[in-house]
Amino acid sequence: MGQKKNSGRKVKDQPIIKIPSIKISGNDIGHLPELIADTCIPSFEEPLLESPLVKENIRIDLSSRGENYLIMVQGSEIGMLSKRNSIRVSECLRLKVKYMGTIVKKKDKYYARFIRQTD
Amino acid sequence: MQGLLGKQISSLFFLDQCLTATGMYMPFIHSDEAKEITKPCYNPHRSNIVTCNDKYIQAFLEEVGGLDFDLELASKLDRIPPYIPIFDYNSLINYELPHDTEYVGITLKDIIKSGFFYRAGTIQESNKIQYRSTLFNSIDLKSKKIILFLSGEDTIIEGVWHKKKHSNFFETLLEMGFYAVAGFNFSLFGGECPFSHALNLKKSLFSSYLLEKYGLKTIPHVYALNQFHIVRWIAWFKQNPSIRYFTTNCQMQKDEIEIKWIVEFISKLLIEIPWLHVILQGFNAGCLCRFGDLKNRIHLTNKRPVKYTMGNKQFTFSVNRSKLIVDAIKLNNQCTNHSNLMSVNVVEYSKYVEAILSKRQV
Repeated sequence: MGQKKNSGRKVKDQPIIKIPSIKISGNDIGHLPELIADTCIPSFEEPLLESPLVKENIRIDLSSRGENYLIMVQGSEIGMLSKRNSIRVSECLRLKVKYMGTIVKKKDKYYARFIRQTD
Repeated sequence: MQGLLGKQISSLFFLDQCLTATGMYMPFIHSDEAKEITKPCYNPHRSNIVTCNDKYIQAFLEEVGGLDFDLELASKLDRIPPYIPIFDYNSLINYELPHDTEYVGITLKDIIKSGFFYRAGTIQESNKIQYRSTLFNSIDLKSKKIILFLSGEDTIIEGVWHKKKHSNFFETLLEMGFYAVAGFNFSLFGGECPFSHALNLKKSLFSSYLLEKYGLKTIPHVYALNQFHIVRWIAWFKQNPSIRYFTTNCQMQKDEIEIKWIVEFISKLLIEIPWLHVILQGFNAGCLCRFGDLKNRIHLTNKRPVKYTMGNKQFTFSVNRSKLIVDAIKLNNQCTNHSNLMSVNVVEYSKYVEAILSKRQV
Protein backbone atom coordinates (compact mmCIF):
# COMPACT_ATOMS: atom_id res chain seq x y z
CA MET A 1 0.00 0.00 0.00
CA GLY A 2 2.67 2.47 0.87
CA GLN A 3 5.09 4.03 3.26
CA LYS A 4 4.30 6.35 6.14
CA LYS A 5 6.52 7.78 8.83
CA ASN A 6 3.51 7.87 11.08
CA SER A 7 1.15 4.93 11.22
CA GLY A 8 -2.11 5.10 9.32
CA ARG A 9 -3.27 1.76 8.01
CA LYS A 10 -6.64 1.66 6.30
CA VAL A 11 -9.43 -0.36 7.95
CA LYS A 12 -10.56 -1.72 4.58
CA ASP A 13 -7.12 -3.17 3.84
CA GLN A 14 -5.82 -5.36 6.69
CA PRO A 15 -4.42 -8.63 5.35
CA ILE A 16 -3.30 -11.54 7.48
CA ILE A 17 0.18 -12.51 6.37
CA LYS A 18 0.40 -16.21 5.62
CA ILE A 19 3.45 -18.43 5.86
CA PRO A 20 5.18 -18.71 2.47
CA SER A 21 3.34 -21.44 0.58
CA ILE A 22 6.53 -23.26 -0.35
CA LYS A 23 7.12 -23.79 3.37
CA ILE A 24 3.71 -25.31 4.08
CA SER A 25 3.50 -29.07 3.86
CA GLY A 26 1.18 -31.69 5.35
CA ASN A 27 0.53 -31.03 9.03
CA ASP A 28 1.94 -27.51 8.89
CA ILE A 29 -1.22 -26.01 7.39
CA GLY A 30 -3.12 -25.34 10.63
CA HIS A 31 -1.17 -22.38 12.10
CA LEU A 32 -3.22 -19.70 13.81
CA PRO A 33 -2.90 -16.87 11.24
CA GLU A 34 -3.57 -19.30 8.37
CA LEU A 35 -6.62 -20.68 10.19
CA ILE A 36 -7.87 -17.14 10.80
CA ALA A 37 -7.34 -16.16 7.18
CA ASP A 38 -9.36 -19.20 6.08
CA THR A 39 -12.12 -18.96 8.69
CA CYS A 40 -12.58 -15.29 9.54
CA ILE A 41 -13.28 -13.20 6.46
CA PRO A 42 -12.24 -9.51 6.76
CA SER A 43 -15.85 -8.29 6.94
CA PHE A 44 -19.48 -9.19 6.36
CA GLU A 45 -22.86 -7.47 6.40
CA GLU A 46 -26.36 -8.34 7.55
CA PRO A 47 -29.45 -6.41 6.37
CA LEU A 48 -31.35 -4.51 9.08
CA LEU A 49 -34.95 -3.48 9.24
CA GLU A 50 -35.66 0.20 9.71
CA SER A 51 -36.32 1.25 13.27
CA PRO A 52 -35.77 4.42 15.30
CA LEU A 53 -32.66 2.76 16.75
CA VAL A 54 -31.13 2.04 13.36
CA LYS A 55 -28.98 5.00 12.39
CA GLU A 56 -25.91 5.28 10.20
CA ASN A 57 -22.45 4.98 11.83
CA ILE A 58 -23.84 3.77 15.17
CA ARG A 59 -21.77 1.13 16.92
CA ILE A 60 -23.49 -2.23 17.33
CA ASP A 61 -22.80 -5.27 19.51
CA LEU A 62 -23.41 -8.98 19.24
CA SER A 63 -25.11 -11.01 21.92
CA SER A 64 -25.32 -14.80 21.80
CA ARG A 65 -28.64 -16.56 22.17
CA GLY A 66 -28.19 -20.30 21.87
CA GLU A 67 -26.47 -20.96 18.57
CA ASN A 68 -27.43 -17.58 17.12
CA TYR A 69 -26.19 -14.05 17.56
CA LEU A 70 -28.44 -11.06 18.04
CA ILE A 71 -27.47 -7.63 16.75
CA MET A 72 -27.88 -5.09 19.53
CA VAL A 73 -27.88 -1.31 19.84
CA GLN A 74 -27.63 0.09 23.37
CA GLY A 75 -29.09 -3.12 24.80
CA SER A 76 -31.97 -3.38 22.28
CA GLU A 77 -32.23 -6.07 19.64
CA ILE A 78 -32.28 -4.75 16.05
CA GLY A 79 -31.54 -7.91 14.08
CA MET A 80 -30.00 -11.33 13.98
CA LEU A 81 -27.00 -12.88 12.22
CA SER A 82 -27.67 -15.56 9.63
CA LYS A 83 -26.84 -19.13 10.66
CA ARG A 84 -23.70 -19.03 8.52
CA ASN A 85 -22.44 -15.81 10.07
CA SER A 86 -23.35 -16.99 13.58
CA ILE A 87 -21.18 -20.09 13.07
CA ARG A 88 -18.42 -17.88 11.67
CA VAL A 89 -18.50 -15.53 14.67
CA SER A 90 -18.42 -18.47 17.12
CA GLU A 91 -15.50 -20.13 15.33
CA CYS A 92 -13.58 -16.87 15.15
CA LEU A 93 -14.16 -16.15 18.83
CA ARG A 94 -12.52 -19.48 19.58
CA LEU A 95 -9.53 -18.23 17.57
CA LYS A 96 -9.67 -15.00 19.63
CA VAL A 97 -10.84 -12.91 16.69
CA LYS A 98 -13.68 -10.49 17.27
CA TYR A 99 -15.80 -8.54 14.82
CA MET A 100 -16.58 -4.90 15.44
CA GLY A 101 -19.89 -3.68 14.07
CA THR A 102 -21.34 -0.39 12.81
CA ILE A 103 -24.47 0.48 10.87
CA VAL A 104 -23.97 1.51 7.24
CA LYS A 105 -26.49 2.81 4.73
CA LYS A 106 -26.40 1.71 1.09
CA LYS A 107 -29.04 2.69 -1.47
CA ASP A 108 -31.48 3.70 1.28
CA LYS A 109 -31.14 0.36 3.07
CA TYR A 110 -29.43 -0.22 6.38
CA TYR A 111 -26.89 -2.95 7.07
CA ALA A 112 -24.94 -4.10 10.08
CA ARG A 113 -21.30 -4.20 8.93
CA PHE A 114 -18.84 -6.29 10.95
CA ILE A 115 -15.12 -5.87 10.47
CA ARG A 116 -12.53 -8.36 11.71
CA GLN A 117 -10.39 -7.17 14.63
CA THR A 118 -7.06 -8.89 15.06
CA ASP A 119 -4.18 -8.23 17.42
CA MET B 1 2.20 17.85 22.56
CA GLN B 2 -0.06 15.20 24.02
CA GLY B 3 0.49 13.10 20.90
CA LEU B 4 4.25 13.33 21.26
CA LEU B 5 4.08 12.40 24.94
CA GLY B 6 1.77 9.49 24.15
CA LYS B 7 4.19 8.31 21.47
CA GLN B 8 7.11 8.44 23.91
CA ILE B 9 5.20 6.47 26.56
CA SER B 10 4.11 3.83 23.99
CA SER B 11 7.67 3.64 22.77
CA LEU B 12 9.03 2.89 26.25
CA PHE B 13 6.22 0.43 26.88
CA PHE B 14 6.72 -1.62 23.72
CA LEU B 15 10.52 -1.35 23.49
CA ASP B 16 11.09 -4.20 25.97
CA GLN B 17 9.02 -6.57 23.84
CA CYS B 18 10.98 -5.96 20.68
CA LEU B 19 13.79 -8.39 19.99
CA THR B 20 15.42 -5.99 17.54
CA ALA B 21 16.27 -3.74 20.52
CA THR B 22 18.77 -6.36 21.68
CA GLY B 23 20.79 -5.94 18.50
CA MET B 24 20.29 -9.58 17.50
CA TYR B 25 19.51 -8.59 13.89
CA MET B 26 22.45 -6.21 13.49
CA PRO B 27 23.82 -5.12 11.04
CA PHE B 28 20.53 -5.43 9.14
CA ILE B 29 18.38 -3.87 11.87
CA HIS B 30 20.07 -1.34 14.13
CA SER B 31 19.05 -1.68 17.79
CA ASP B 32 18.18 2.05 17.84
CA GLU B 33 15.38 1.45 15.31
CA ALA B 34 13.37 -0.12 18.13
CA LYS B 35 13.23 3.28 19.87
CA GLU B 36 10.64 4.38 17.33
CA ILE B 37 8.15 1.63 18.20
CA THR B 38 4.63 2.77 19.11
CA LYS B 39 2.82 -0.51 18.37
CA PRO B 40 3.19 -3.87 20.12
CA CYS B 41 5.33 -6.54 18.48
CA TYR B 42 2.92 -9.14 19.90
CA ASN B 43 0.91 -9.98 16.79
CA PRO B 44 -0.27 -13.59 17.07
CA HIS B 45 -2.73 -13.22 14.19
CA ARG B 46 0.02 -11.83 11.97
CA SER B 47 -2.17 -8.92 11.03
CA ASN B 48 -0.56 -6.77 8.28
CA ILE B 49 3.04 -7.59 9.20
CA VAL B 50 5.48 -10.21 10.44
CA THR B 51 7.05 -9.03 13.70
CA CYS B 52 10.14 -10.12 15.65
CA ASN B 53 7.86 -12.18 17.94
CA ASP B 54 6.51 -14.39 15.17
CA LYS B 55 6.74 -18.10 15.84
CA TYR B 56 7.46 -18.86 12.19
CA ILE B 57 9.92 -16.04 11.56
CA GLN B 58 12.43 -18.47 10.06
CA ALA B 59 10.08 -19.46 7.24
CA PHE B 60 9.70 -15.82 6.19
CA LEU B 61 13.44 -15.24 6.36
CA GLU B 62 14.21 -18.39 4.38
CA GLU B 63 11.80 -17.37 1.64
CA VAL B 64 13.79 -14.21 0.85
CA GLY B 65 17.27 -15.45 1.78
CA GLY B 66 17.55 -13.54 5.08
CA LEU B 67 17.60 -9.80 5.72
CA ASP B 68 20.91 -9.08 3.99
CA PHE B 69 20.65 -7.04 0.77
CA ASP B 70 23.04 -9.53 -0.82
CA LEU B 71 21.30 -9.74 -4.18
CA GLU B 72 22.79 -8.57 -7.44
CA LEU B 73 20.65 -7.00 -10.13
CA ALA B 74 21.73 -6.07 -13.64
CA SER B 75 18.64 -4.67 -15.42
CA LYS B 76 19.61 -1.95 -17.88
CA LEU B 77 16.85 0.35 -19.02
CA ASP B 78 16.79 2.80 -21.92
CA ARG B 79 16.39 6.47 -21.18
CA ILE B 80 13.04 6.96 -19.52
CA PRO B 81 11.08 10.20 -20.16
CA PRO B 82 10.39 12.66 -17.32
CA TYR B 83 6.72 11.67 -17.25
CA ILE B 84 5.04 8.26 -17.66
CA PRO B 85 1.23 8.20 -17.72
CA ILE B 86 -0.42 5.30 -15.90
CA PHE B 87 -3.48 3.79 -17.56
CA ASP B 88 -6.06 1.66 -15.85
CA TYR B 89 -7.70 -1.41 -17.38
CA ASN B 90 -10.80 0.40 -18.63
CA SER B 91 -8.89 3.14 -20.37
CA LEU B 92 -6.56 0.58 -21.95
CA ILE B 93 -9.34 -1.47 -23.52
CA ASN B 94 -11.79 1.30 -24.35
CA TYR B 95 -9.67 4.11 -25.68
CA GLU B 96 -6.93 4.61 -28.17
CA LEU B 97 -3.65 5.44 -26.49
CA PRO B 98 -1.75 8.60 -27.44
CA HIS B 99 0.39 7.80 -30.51
CA ASP B 100 3.44 9.78 -29.48
CA THR B 101 3.62 8.36 -25.97
CA GLU B 102 6.23 5.62 -25.99
CA TYR B 103 6.19 4.70 -22.30
CA VAL B 104 3.03 3.67 -20.50
CA GLY B 105 2.53 2.53 -16.91
CA ILE B 106 0.02 0.13 -15.38
CA THR B 107 -0.46 -1.09 -11.81
CA LEU B 108 -0.97 -4.57 -10.38
CA LYS B 109 -4.75 -4.53 -9.91
CA ASP B 110 -5.29 -3.71 -13.58
CA ILE B 111 -3.69 -6.94 -14.74
CA ILE B 112 -5.76 -9.04 -12.33
CA LYS B 113 -8.89 -10.63 -13.80
CA SER B 114 -10.17 -12.27 -10.61
CA GLY B 115 -8.97 -13.18 -7.14
CA PHE B 116 -9.93 -10.12 -5.13
CA PHE B 117 -13.20 -8.39 -4.52
CA TYR B 118 -14.60 -5.54 -2.50
CA ARG B 119 -17.32 -6.58 -0.03
CA ALA B 120 -18.79 -5.14 3.17
CA GLY B 121 -16.31 -2.28 3.18
CA THR B 122 -13.11 -4.34 2.88
CA ILE B 123 -10.94 -5.91 0.18
CA GLN B 124 -11.26 -9.69 0.28
CA GLU B 125 -9.42 -12.52 -1.35
CA SER B 126 -10.71 -15.59 -3.15
CA ASN B 127 -8.86 -18.88 -3.51
CA LYS B 128 -7.58 -18.46 -7.03
CA ILE B 129 -6.00 -15.53 -8.86
CA GLN B 130 -6.34 -15.11 -12.60
CA TYR B 131 -4.46 -12.55 -14.67
CA ARG B 132 -5.39 -10.68 -17.84
CA SER B 133 -2.59 -12.39 -19.72
CA THR B 134 -3.79 -11.32 -23.18
CA LEU B 135 -4.29 -7.67 -22.28
CA PHE B 136 -1.51 -6.36 -24.51
CA ASN B 137 -2.23 -8.45 -27.57
CA SER B 138 -3.59 -5.52 -29.54
CA ILE B 139 -1.23 -3.99 -32.09
CA ASP B 140 -1.65 -0.55 -30.54
CA LEU B 141 -0.18 -1.69 -27.23
CA LYS B 142 2.57 -3.79 -28.75
CA SER B 143 4.27 -0.64 -29.99
CA LYS B 144 4.47 0.74 -26.45
CA LYS B 145 6.99 0.17 -23.71
CA ILE B 146 4.79 -0.83 -20.80
CA ILE B 147 6.08 -0.64 -17.25
CA LEU B 148 4.22 -2.58 -14.57
CA PHE B 149 4.26 -1.02 -11.12
CA LEU B 150 3.54 -3.68 -8.50
CA SER B 151 1.77 -1.29 -6.18
CA GLY B 152 -1.72 -1.31 -4.73
CA GLU B 153 -3.58 -2.36 -1.61
CA ASP B 154 -1.73 -4.61 0.85
CA THR B 155 -4.39 -7.32 0.54
CA ILE B 156 -3.69 -7.52 -3.20
CA ILE B 157 0.08 -7.26 -2.93
CA GLU B 158 0.41 -9.82 -0.15
CA GLY B 159 -2.20 -12.08 -1.78
CA VAL B 160 -0.39 -12.15 -5.13
CA TRP B 161 2.96 -12.62 -3.39
CA HIS B 162 1.64 -15.57 -1.37
CA LYS B 163 0.14 -17.20 -4.46
CA LYS B 164 2.93 -16.22 -6.85
CA LYS B 165 3.90 -19.82 -7.53
CA HIS B 166 0.43 -21.34 -7.79
CA SER B 167 -0.83 -18.51 -10.00
CA ASN B 168 2.25 -18.62 -12.27
CA PHE B 169 2.69 -14.93 -11.61
CA PHE B 170 6.19 -14.43 -12.98
CA GLU B 171 5.62 -16.68 -16.00
CA THR B 172 2.48 -14.66 -16.83
CA LEU B 173 4.31 -11.34 -16.58
CA LEU B 174 6.99 -12.62 -18.96
CA GLU B 175 4.33 -13.79 -21.39
CA MET B 176 2.60 -10.40 -21.27
CA GLY B 177 5.68 -8.69 -22.64
CA PHE B 178 6.32 -5.87 -20.19
CA TYR B 179 9.25 -3.61 -20.94
CA ALA B 180 10.07 -3.55 -17.23
CA VAL B 181 8.43 -4.47 -13.93
CA ALA B 182 9.01 -2.60 -10.68
CA GLY B 183 9.58 -4.51 -7.46
CA PHE B 184 6.63 -5.14 -5.14
CA ASN B 185 5.69 -2.22 -2.96
CA PHE B 186 5.45 -3.93 0.43
CA SER B 187 4.30 -1.47 3.08
CA LEU B 188 6.41 0.19 5.75
CA PHE B 189 4.63 2.02 8.55
CA GLY B 190 6.44 4.04 11.19
CA GLY B 191 5.98 2.84 14.79
CA GLU B 192 5.68 -0.82 13.80
CA CYS B 193 8.25 -3.52 14.56
CA PRO B 194 11.58 -2.79 12.79
CA PHE B 195 11.76 -6.46 11.84
CA SER B 196 8.67 -5.97 9.67
CA HIS B 197 10.39 -3.00 7.98
CA ALA B 198 13.58 -4.95 7.28
CA LEU B 199 11.65 -7.99 6.04
CA ASN B 200 9.48 -5.94 3.69
CA LEU B 201 12.47 -4.05 2.29
CA LYS B 202 14.16 -7.36 1.55
CA LYS B 203 10.96 -8.91 0.17
CA SER B 204 10.71 -6.03 -2.28
CA LEU B 205 14.33 -6.38 -3.38
CA PHE B 206 13.91 -10.14 -3.59
CA SER B 207 10.87 -9.68 -5.82
CA SER B 208 13.07 -7.69 -8.23
CA TYR B 209 15.61 -10.51 -8.07
CA LEU B 210 12.90 -13.03 -9.00
CA LEU B 211 11.70 -10.81 -11.85
CA GLU B 212 15.21 -10.80 -13.31
CA LYS B 213 15.50 -14.53 -12.76
CA TYR B 214 12.41 -15.00 -14.90
CA GLY B 215 13.90 -12.86 -17.66
CA LEU B 216 12.20 -9.54 -16.96
CA LYS B 217 13.87 -6.16 -16.59
CA THR B 218 13.24 -4.75 -13.15
CA ILE B 219 13.17 -1.41 -11.38
CA PRO B 220 13.84 -1.89 -7.65
CA HIS B 221 11.23 -0.41 -5.37
CA VAL B 222 12.80 1.54 -2.51
CA TYR B 223 11.29 2.68 0.76
CA ALA B 224 13.14 4.09 3.75
CA LEU B 225 11.80 5.17 7.12
CA ASN B 226 15.06 6.13 8.80
CA GLN B 227 18.75 6.86 8.28
CA PHE B 228 19.67 3.20 8.79
CA HIS B 229 17.51 2.20 5.84
CA ILE B 230 19.05 4.94 3.69
CA VAL B 231 22.59 3.76 4.52
CA ARG B 232 21.67 0.19 3.54
CA TRP B 233 20.23 1.29 0.20
CA ILE B 234 23.26 3.48 -0.59
CA ALA B 235 25.57 0.52 0.04
CA TRP B 236 23.41 -1.70 -2.17
CA PHE B 237 23.27 0.76 -5.08
CA LYS B 238 27.05 1.20 -4.93
CA GLN B 239 27.41 -2.55 -5.34
CA ASN B 240 24.92 -2.61 -8.22
CA PRO B 241 26.12 0.13 -10.58
CA SER B 242 24.15 -1.13 -13.57
CA ILE B 243 20.91 -0.17 -11.81
CA ARG B 244 20.18 3.39 -12.99
CA TYR B 245 16.54 3.62 -11.99
CA PHE B 246 14.62 2.91 -8.84
CA THR B 247 11.04 3.71 -7.95
CA THR B 248 9.16 4.84 -4.83
CA ASN B 249 5.42 4.85 -4.37
CA CYS B 250 4.50 8.24 -2.88
CA GLN B 251 0.71 7.97 -2.96
CA MET B 252 0.43 8.22 0.82
CA GLN B 253 2.66 11.28 1.04
CA LYS B 254 0.02 13.94 1.49
CA ASP B 255 1.03 15.96 4.53
CA GLU B 256 4.07 18.17 4.98
CA ILE B 257 6.00 15.79 7.27
CA GLU B 258 5.67 12.90 4.83
CA ILE B 259 6.55 15.00 1.75
CA LYS B 260 9.56 16.47 3.53
CA TRP B 261 10.82 13.00 4.42
CA ILE B 262 10.41 11.69 0.85
CA VAL B 263 12.39 14.65 -0.48
CA GLU B 264 15.07 14.10 2.17
CA PHE B 265 15.54 10.39 1.65
CA ILE B 266 15.37 10.45 -2.15
CA SER B 267 17.79 13.41 -2.27
CA LYS B 268 20.28 11.56 -0.08
CA LEU B 269 20.26 8.56 -2.41
CA LEU B 270 20.62 10.72 -5.52
CA ILE B 271 23.47 12.76 -4.03
CA GLU B 272 25.38 9.68 -2.93
CA ILE B 273 24.81 7.75 -6.17
CA PRO B 274 25.33 10.21 -9.03
CA TRP B 275 24.15 7.85 -11.80
CA LEU B 276 20.83 7.11 -10.15
CA HIS B 277 17.38 8.27 -11.30
CA VAL B 278 14.08 7.85 -9.46
CA ILE B 279 10.56 7.29 -10.76
CA LEU B 280 8.16 8.75 -8.19
CA GLN B 281 4.72 7.13 -8.24
CA GLY B 282 1.90 9.52 -7.45
CA PHE B 283 4.07 12.30 -6.04
CA ASN B 284 2.52 15.77 -5.96
CA ALA B 285 3.88 17.46 -9.13
CA GLY B 286 3.72 20.84 -7.44
CA CYS B 287 6.32 19.67 -4.89
CA LEU B 288 8.86 18.44 -7.47
CA CYS B 289 10.73 21.76 -7.31
CA ARG B 290 11.79 20.83 -3.76
CA PHE B 291 14.38 18.48 -5.23
CA GLY B 292 16.37 21.52 -6.42
CA ASP B 293 19.25 20.67 -8.75
CA LEU B 294 18.45 16.96 -8.53
CA LYS B 295 15.26 17.49 -10.53
CA ASN B 296 16.84 16.34 -13.78
CA ARG B 297 17.09 12.86 -12.27
CA ILE B 298 13.49 12.73 -11.15
CA HIS B 299 10.71 11.09 -13.18
CA LEU B 300 7.04 11.17 -12.35
CA THR B 301 4.31 8.65 -13.00
CA ASN B 302 0.62 8.95 -12.13
CA LYS B 303 -2.96 8.49 -13.36
CA ARG B 304 -3.78 12.18 -13.44
CA PRO B 305 -4.46 12.59 -17.21
CA VAL B 306 -6.62 9.43 -17.20
CA LYS B 307 -8.63 10.50 -14.15
CA TYR B 308 -9.23 13.99 -15.50
CA THR B 309 -10.21 12.60 -18.92
CA MET B 310 -12.84 10.39 -17.26
CA GLY B 311 -14.17 13.48 -15.52
CA ASN B 312 -14.41 15.33 -18.89
CA LYS B 313 -11.69 17.78 -17.92
CA GLN B 314 -9.13 19.13 -20.35
CA PHE B 315 -5.57 20.13 -19.51
CA THR B 316 -3.80 23.01 -21.20
CA PHE B 317 -0.25 23.84 -20.28
CA SER B 318 0.38 27.55 -20.30
CA VAL B 319 4.03 28.06 -21.23
CA ASN B 320 4.05 31.73 -20.24
CA ARG B 321 2.57 31.11 -16.82
CA SER B 322 4.20 27.66 -16.34
CA LYS B 323 0.83 26.52 -15.17
CA LEU B 324 -1.57 23.67 -15.89
CA ILE B 325 -5.03 24.99 -16.70
CA VAL B 326 -8.01 22.66 -16.20
CA ASP B 327 -11.26 23.22 -18.09
CA ALA B 328 -14.51 21.26 -17.89
CA ILE B 329 -15.69 20.28 -21.37
CA LYS B 330 -18.76 18.72 -22.96
CA LEU B 331 -18.29 15.62 -25.14
CA ASN B 332 -20.71 14.50 -27.84
CA ASN B 333 -19.32 11.11 -28.74
CA GLN B 334 -17.89 9.85 -25.43
CA CYS B 335 -15.66 7.07 -26.79
CA THR B 336 -13.97 8.84 -29.70
CA ASN B 337 -13.72 12.10 -27.88
CA HIS B 338 -12.33 10.54 -24.74
CA SER B 339 -9.52 9.03 -26.82
CA ASN B 340 -8.74 12.45 -28.25
CA LEU B 341 -9.06 14.12 -24.87
CA MET B 342 -6.78 11.49 -23.34
CA SER B 343 -4.09 12.23 -25.94
CA VAL B 344 -4.38 15.96 -25.31
CA ASN B 345 -4.26 15.51 -21.53
CA VAL B 346 -1.24 13.21 -21.62
CA VAL B 347 0.67 15.57 -23.90
CA GLU B 348 -0.22 18.70 -21.92
CA TYR B 349 0.49 17.09 -18.55
CA SER B 350 3.83 15.79 -19.85
CA LYS B 351 4.74 19.35 -20.91
CA TYR B 352 3.79 20.60 -17.46
CA VAL B 353 5.95 18.01 -15.65
CA GLU B 354 8.85 18.55 -18.05
CA ALA B 355 8.64 22.31 -17.45
CA ILE B 356 8.82 21.84 -13.67
CA LEU B 357 11.70 19.39 -13.90
CA SER B 358 13.72 21.47 -16.33
CA LYS B 359 13.22 24.77 -14.51
CA ARG B 360 16.53 26.06 -13.24
CA GLN B 361 16.94 26.93 -9.59
CA VAL B 362 17.40 30.63 -8.89
